Amino acid sequence: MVHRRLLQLAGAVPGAILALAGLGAVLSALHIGFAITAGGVIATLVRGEGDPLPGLAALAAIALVRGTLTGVREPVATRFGAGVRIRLRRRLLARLGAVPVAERDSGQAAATVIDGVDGLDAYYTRYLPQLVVVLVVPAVVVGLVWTRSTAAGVALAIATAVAVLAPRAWDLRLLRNGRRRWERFTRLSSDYVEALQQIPLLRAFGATDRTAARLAADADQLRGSTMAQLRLSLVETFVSGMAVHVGTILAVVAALSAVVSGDTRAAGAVTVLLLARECFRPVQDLGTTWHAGYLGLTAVDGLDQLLSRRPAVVEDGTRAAPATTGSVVVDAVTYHHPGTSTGLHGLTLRVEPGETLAIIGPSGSGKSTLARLLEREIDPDAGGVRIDDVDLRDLTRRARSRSVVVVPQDPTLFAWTVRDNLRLYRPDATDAEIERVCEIADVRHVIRALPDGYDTVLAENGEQLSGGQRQRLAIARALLSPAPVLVLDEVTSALDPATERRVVDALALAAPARTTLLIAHRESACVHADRWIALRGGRLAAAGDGPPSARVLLSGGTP
Amino acid sequence: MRAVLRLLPVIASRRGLFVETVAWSVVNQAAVLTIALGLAFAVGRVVASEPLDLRVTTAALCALGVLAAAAAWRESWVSHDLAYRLIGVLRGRVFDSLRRALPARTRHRRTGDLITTVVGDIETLEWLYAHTAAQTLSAVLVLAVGGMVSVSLSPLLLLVWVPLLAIGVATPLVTARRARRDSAALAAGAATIRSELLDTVRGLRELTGADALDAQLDRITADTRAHARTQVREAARLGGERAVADVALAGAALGAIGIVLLGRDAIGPADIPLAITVAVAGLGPAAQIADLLRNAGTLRAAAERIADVLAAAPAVRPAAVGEALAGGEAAAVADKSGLVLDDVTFAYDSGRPVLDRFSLHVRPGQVVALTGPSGAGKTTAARLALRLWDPDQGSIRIDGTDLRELPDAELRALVAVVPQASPLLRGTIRTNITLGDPDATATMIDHAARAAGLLDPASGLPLGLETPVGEHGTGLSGGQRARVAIARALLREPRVLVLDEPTASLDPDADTAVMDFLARATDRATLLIAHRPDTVAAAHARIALHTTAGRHT
Repeated sequence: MVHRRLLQLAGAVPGAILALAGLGAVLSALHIGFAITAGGVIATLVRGEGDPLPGLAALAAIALVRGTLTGVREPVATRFGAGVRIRLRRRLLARLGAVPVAERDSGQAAATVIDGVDGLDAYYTRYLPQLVVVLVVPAVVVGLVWTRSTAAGVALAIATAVAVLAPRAWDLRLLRNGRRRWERFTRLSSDYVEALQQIPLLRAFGATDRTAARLAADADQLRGSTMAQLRLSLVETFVSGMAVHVGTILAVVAALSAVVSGDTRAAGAVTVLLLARECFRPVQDLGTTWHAGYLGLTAVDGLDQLLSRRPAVVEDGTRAAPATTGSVVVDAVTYHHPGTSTGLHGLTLRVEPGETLAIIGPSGSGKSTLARLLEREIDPDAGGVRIDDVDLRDLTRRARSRSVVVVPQDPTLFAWTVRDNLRLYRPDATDAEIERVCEIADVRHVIRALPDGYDTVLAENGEQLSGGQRQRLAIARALLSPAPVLVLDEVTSALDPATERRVVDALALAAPARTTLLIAHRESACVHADRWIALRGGRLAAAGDGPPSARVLLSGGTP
Repeated sequence: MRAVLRLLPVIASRRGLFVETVAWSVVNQAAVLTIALGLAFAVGRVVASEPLDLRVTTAALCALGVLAAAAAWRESWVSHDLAYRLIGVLRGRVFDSLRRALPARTRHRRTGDLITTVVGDIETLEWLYAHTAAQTLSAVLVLAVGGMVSVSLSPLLLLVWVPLLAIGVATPLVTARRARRDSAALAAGAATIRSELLDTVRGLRELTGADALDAQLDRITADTRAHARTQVREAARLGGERAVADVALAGAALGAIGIVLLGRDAIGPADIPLAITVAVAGLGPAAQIADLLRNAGTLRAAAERIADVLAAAPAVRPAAVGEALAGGEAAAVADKSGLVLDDVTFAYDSGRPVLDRFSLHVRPGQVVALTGPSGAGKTTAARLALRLWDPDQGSIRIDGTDLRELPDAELRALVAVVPQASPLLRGTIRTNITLGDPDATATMIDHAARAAGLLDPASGLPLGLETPVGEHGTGLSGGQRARVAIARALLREPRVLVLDEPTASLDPDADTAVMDFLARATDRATLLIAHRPDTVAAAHARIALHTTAGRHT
């Protein structure tokens, strides 16, 4: 199961693969040495001539070394495996930014980075090294047998070729059909888990009988089609099994005939008996790592998604000084979301330092695209975005993170302590500073009610908090940032009116010098705006002074 | 192993396949052993210059080789079939039991954990019954045969055999105990890394924006390294077991040679290769037995959990059908009293009642809001109205009929729910809306979807009702999910509608849609559970629950 993508990525971890293949080869060499020595000793015993003791001592020594290396292989592979996971994840996560946001949420990227990389670990530390061993060791064994009896060598060579190649033909079929079947199997499993999780819902809608019947029918259908495919593929088990058994028998018999006719010494026949097994041992071991190879294969699609795309932004800015005053210029910016008609078309905009600008408009008018351009999650197709007259593309990532901070509508919180979450934009913030921003975002009492206050470790994405509480934590977090430009993308949408009012008022008082861009569709969110603009279809549709009136908001700024 | 046996009736229906798997496995292993012994026998004769008909031997052994390969082929075919069927049977039985038993009548047990465990347990048992039990049984058989051949060659060989077998089998038993101690740490480490990776994928925007991506990657790297230390310890244990097995096999060969050297008269020269081969090949199957023993603890625990799940008590007893036909239907036509909770007392398995002699009446056309802090029993009342549980005392009636007297199908036609957080199932919006009624006509579906605001051009659904909802509905926004859940309930045209925190995840537009819908409900009794005052504003009456056991005002 060798795939172009998997080999390409193997370049990232060549050391681990070669080291483990080397270890496997040494182990095979010890097995071969044991077989040859034992053959000599047994022949000595049978013939009753010569001293078997030196041979016995050698066997004991080989057995101990081999035992030790066998014991060491597993922990070594595991240690290398951790290194492989670390390197691959760093590499893949760095490419994540290239995946369009909508696809990133679909879970495939997460599946690739989590389960996919676990599968690749098995692929690179178990399957590939063993594959290398299979390519080398049986050929050596065949050569050793050949020197003792040509006929035995020929028999073994043919048998080995069949035993090694027959499963590869099956791998080819698997490449074509197996992935789809695996997908169906995992999908059926996740449907089953979902049905169990949603039993209360299914009961409330009287749907448990139907669901049980559907799951059973799906399972039966999958079993039927799987067995139909296996009918052919399992023939491989028969072919390679027969090659191993009949090949060994014929090789030994050929050696015995040679002994009978006097062409070969007796010890040679015993050695061939023991060596034949060593010829097939790596092949059989490859069979036990087969699942690891399969896991690698299942990750291919996810890897394609991450590695085949061009990154949306290339970080090559060199200016390390962050903006200080916070003037924002959007200069004739055009951006098309790939595959859609939405985006921005030649938008020009200027926001003075300390000004609060409300940006309104219907869904798809380009508001959130503007936010993504301002934090350089995407780069404009044409035109430029400048802060303090410096193009965002010229800033280093660190300088940019200190120039502009964006709070998205559906912010992500991390499974860290509340304090660490709040310090995202300023890791050295003091407790007093943290308290102050939590006061502004009206979230202090929420944190106090948590079991360990600021030291509470949040669940994944802060799932124990409501949408509104998450939004307020995200606002507090952004307020700790030293950036002079703050972009708020409908950040109070999940708050009740009274809380929203408190937060909006506190925000206006807390940071009068900060340039604020407020994306909103409710009047209550932009009562303190100095100016407003309305977007429609990615273009400026209207603008006005002061906060937008209810009438303006309702009509989307068009008269 | 009692629990493993307790489950045997469940797999009894697949007995034939199981027996066939054992049979082919025995044929395969016996043939492989015989080939090894036969070759050793032949080598011994030839090397000792004793007479042997090579042609007959070759023919016989090759026939055995074909038989071994055919048996292995057949075994893997039958065991695959058995595995798929067993997963099906076990999953079916577990679902059948849990759909009666869930939601669990406890407050604190995490159902999600139970489900994850049970699904894993099913796979463990499938591994046992389809891929392990048969192979172990035949390994025991082959081991016995190997022992007998050894004894027939020379009883002295038992001196090598018995101690090595004991070591091989005992090692995993010793290490398994230590392995169990590390397994919790392994699971916790894996969960931490998993959640950090999920965080990184989801929060990439924030991490990049804050220039914190590198720090997060460093954090993941450090945690992976820490986790790897436990993994390496575990791997060292496994490697140690393998080393012991490997040295034991080499020891078997050396021991056999030693016996030959010490008791020259016991074993004839021509039998020497055979004696050594039987010592090594005969011990091979012990690895299979050791493997089963190593996992005995896990297997027992899995079997016990599954047996417990299958024995779980149902949450409600099915209605006696005769009763309902006599009284129920006539009453439903005559009585239009809506939803009544009459003097209801309900306690979770531990302790004080969460509802204590609680009464409530929602007449058709009325919206009654049930408010109160979390833990006061709001959702409990909703679940009782849906008969997910029965009350300990008192009764719940819809249009005069006690829910306990209604057959499930009739009850489900009367009452519908918009549950908290609007859970959806994988599929499209259409398959979700028709969850309760897969035979609904296109007009009915259209009507329900339109009423919930799903067909607006502004709803942002490019494929309309055919839009896939993604896993757990994550492909849709919270507001879109809520609209689908509302349409799903509307399709039933229920007499009683339960809305559990419907506006918690709604955008203001959907909020209005819910309220419009409430206002138009003239023939329907609506129980509205909410904590936000603006949602409750539309209600005709309001009942507040307090945490002191279902007291209300």
